[in-house]
Amino acid sequence: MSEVKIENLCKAYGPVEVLKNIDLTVEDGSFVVLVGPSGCGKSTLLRSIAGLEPITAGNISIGGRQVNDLPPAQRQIAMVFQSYALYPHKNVYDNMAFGLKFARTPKAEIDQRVSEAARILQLEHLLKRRPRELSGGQRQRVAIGRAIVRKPQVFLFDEPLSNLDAALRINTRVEIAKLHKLLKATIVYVTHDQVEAMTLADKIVVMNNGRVEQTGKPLDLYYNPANMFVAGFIGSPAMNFVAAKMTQKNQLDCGAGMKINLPLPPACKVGDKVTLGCRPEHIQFAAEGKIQLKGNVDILERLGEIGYAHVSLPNGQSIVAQITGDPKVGNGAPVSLALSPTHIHIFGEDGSVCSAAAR
Amino acid sequence: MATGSDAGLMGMSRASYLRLLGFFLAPAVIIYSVFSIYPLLATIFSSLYLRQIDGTYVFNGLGNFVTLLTDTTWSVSFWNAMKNNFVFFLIHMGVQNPIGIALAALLSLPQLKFRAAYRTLIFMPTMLSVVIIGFTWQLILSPLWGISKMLLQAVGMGAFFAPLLGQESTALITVSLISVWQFVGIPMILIYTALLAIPDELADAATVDGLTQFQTFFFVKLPLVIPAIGLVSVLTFVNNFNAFDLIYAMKGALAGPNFSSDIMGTLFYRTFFGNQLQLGDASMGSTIATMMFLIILLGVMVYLFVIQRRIQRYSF
Repeated sequence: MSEVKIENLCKAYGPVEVLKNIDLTVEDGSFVVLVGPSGCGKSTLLRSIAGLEPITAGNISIGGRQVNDLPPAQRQIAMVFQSYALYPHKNVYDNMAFGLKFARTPKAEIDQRVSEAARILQLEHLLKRRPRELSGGQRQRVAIGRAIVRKPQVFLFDEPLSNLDAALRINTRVEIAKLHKLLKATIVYVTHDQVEAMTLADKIVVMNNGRVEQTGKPLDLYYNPANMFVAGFIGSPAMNFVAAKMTQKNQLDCGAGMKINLPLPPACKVGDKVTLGCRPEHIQFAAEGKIQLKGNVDILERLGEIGYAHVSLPNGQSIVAQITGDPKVGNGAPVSLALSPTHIHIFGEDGSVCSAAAR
Repeated sequence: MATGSDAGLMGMSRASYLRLLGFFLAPAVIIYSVFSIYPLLATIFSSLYLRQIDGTYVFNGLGNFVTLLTDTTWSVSFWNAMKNNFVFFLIHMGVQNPIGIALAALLSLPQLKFRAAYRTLIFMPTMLSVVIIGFTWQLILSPLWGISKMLLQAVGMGAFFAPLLGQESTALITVSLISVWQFVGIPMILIYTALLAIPDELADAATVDGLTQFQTFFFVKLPLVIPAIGLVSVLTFVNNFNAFDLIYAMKGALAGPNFSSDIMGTLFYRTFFGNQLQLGDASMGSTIATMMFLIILLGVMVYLFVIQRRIQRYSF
């Protein structure tokens, strides 16, 4: 069992609270991704789990054992750093063996563990090289190898792909996913890239301002975001938001004469200010459909298979619609947009969702 | 770059290209020639002549060097100064640089408070004049009214007091340690800067690998600042074999008692300029100066061609 349980974790630097009452369970063998904008506290949370940052309050346990006061080396964790943090003066073998030597592991076992890790990561021919003689991707694999040889209960990854170029990032992402399957390891992974989060995670934890905004499976977050922050953060391009007011039962007024008839959740009352959210991929150019908005095309971005139309609405707001094919519309042309009624999200004034749209 | 005979830089004629070259090179060439290259050559040249009784100079080949190294009138002083200078250097290498490294390590501890204050205080003596340092320490160590004697007596250790600057066995070591005290800030700052360049994540990785803070310093950070330590060592060597001022300020040109604190710099000073009954001898003085130059040249060459080539430099 290597479950990580975090209860009511708080972390403050003086009066500045960077982590506020975090509760999180990482199930044994699962891949959990902490995602959020920079400064949201995700790296601090990871470093707290590792023991590199002391915590102000709360509890962290790994594998059922409370580790609050244990130094990192005794927490049975291994960490992969953003800059890889390989020892520049040691060769690949010694980089992987370094921690084991200090743990007084017998020489034969060190040999066996390092060659096992080298085999998994295809580093066997590089064992005698120094880090500076390696490419970025190879250094990344050595950093992962250094984690594997520790046989930890939990792997911690701190933005491990952000130093790689785009093509290598996609490859390595797949490698990490395979590695997770192979090792059946428990992984906590920090990234600011929502694509990495969506593709790798069993469970995503969206963080903002030191709080957990929402926790769930990738597609749950995509289809049922709990609030506007999660809705805007997950998915690319971001979800469109249109400010509206409920003027009559089941009718929204978006201003400038745009009225939408929509069955609204019972929680909404006449007179409430709400925000209507709809992802670009759920908006089409179409003159028919239950929910219609009209506007003028500002810019058409054609990516080939699909494209994005930036449309300004009469009330001054701008929304993005995903288009397929090659619609013959010029800039400034008036268009009608049809919003898929089952993919509309209504957020209350505080930003939390009033109605989860049906799938 | 001018290629062929006609093409200059960006279509310039060859003559104006050369004028431009001259314009940029001239200041450095002139200053180095006048203040560095000419004096050096003149010194070496002068060391090849012998001073006659009547004050004239005749060419003597390498005769002065033979005299300096073998004729006991000169060689006893020369080898004594040479030996003392090596002791002076070894005390700096053995005391100043390890303490400098240790202070740098302490300064870079993340939980240290008042970092800037310590840094300034430790560096302060380096900025003071050597004359002030020498005078202050002479007062501190004075057997008549020195505070060191009173302090030792106050804690009941008066019996350990000795006139450290006045004994042949202790004078050189004492002066060396005072110099160490004055200049320990330089290795500290250079190595501290090198330690700051090591990314924090490397120390974090070592922590996760189970190393204590001390082990992290010793096995991870120290190997990475070896280039800075090499630089500090060669600077120490050059400074020590050019040293003169502290000994002169504290012990005078005679570097007493009985030449026990005499180093190359003071020997050169007495020989070249003369002192008390000893007449100044420019050619013999130049011979000593040339020897000093050769010793330093040899040391720096050993560093450049043997040591530095084996040092690995790391980029992070």
